[in-house]
Amino acid sequence: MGFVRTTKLRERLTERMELRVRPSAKRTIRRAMALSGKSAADLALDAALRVLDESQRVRLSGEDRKAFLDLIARPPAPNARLKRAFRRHAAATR
Amino acid sequence: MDSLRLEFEPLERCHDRAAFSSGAPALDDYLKTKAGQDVRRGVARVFVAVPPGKNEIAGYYTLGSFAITFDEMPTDIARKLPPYGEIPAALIGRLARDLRWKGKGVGELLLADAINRTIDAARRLAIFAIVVDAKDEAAADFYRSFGFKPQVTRPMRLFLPLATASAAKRNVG
Repeated sequence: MGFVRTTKLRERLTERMELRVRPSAKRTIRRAMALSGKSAADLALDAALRVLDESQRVRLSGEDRKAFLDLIARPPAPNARLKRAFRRHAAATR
Repeated sequence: MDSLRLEFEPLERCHDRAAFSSGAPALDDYLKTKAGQDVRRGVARVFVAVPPGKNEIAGYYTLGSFAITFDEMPTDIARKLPPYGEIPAALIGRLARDLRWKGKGVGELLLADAINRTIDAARRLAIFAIVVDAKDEAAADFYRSFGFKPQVTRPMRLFLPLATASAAKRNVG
């Protein structure tokens, strides 16, 4: 410990970003700001991070979780079509 | 069909993206306008199939890193998992072949190449599964036919254990 990453300090403090929204969307955003105590910029960043995160991970629960863990714990033998695809790939790239 | 020769390589400027047409506008547009950007930003890797010595794109696929996490993990299972309770995986986000190459089995070669590349990567970095997002029912059928198993509540996302893929590769020798 004792070493603190300082990459953030090299970033410009802030940049301007304007956006146009419908009045109803603006009201919704203002309500969310009041409720969470966050700025519109923080809320936009939260939503952006959530989108990026969901494209790179999935959280499984219930039967999804059970089926996936069973699949990983007892991987099925490859089927004929998968084996054939590998043979064809080896031949096509020889 | 079995005399088909293709080379699989990372997408480069020299590849003819403009002529690519898979019949799915979203997949064509991605290759033409976004793929290069994603590669530069490191968001995804894009690989193309080309006839030897040519720059015509017969098909392409994207590979990215992915993680599977869980709600309320029972401790007996948690102990068997990698640290942080996350299962590292590889995502084949997009896969498309050009209409000019229809009926030649290019789709299965693209899939085999993507899986092959993932198996190679897994020698250096733990990867337990390959994840695909099917764009429609026909695509989901395609992946199921190779042994991918659909997520129960979201059947357009499918999984293949890396162990199953590795066994298929060993079979080729």
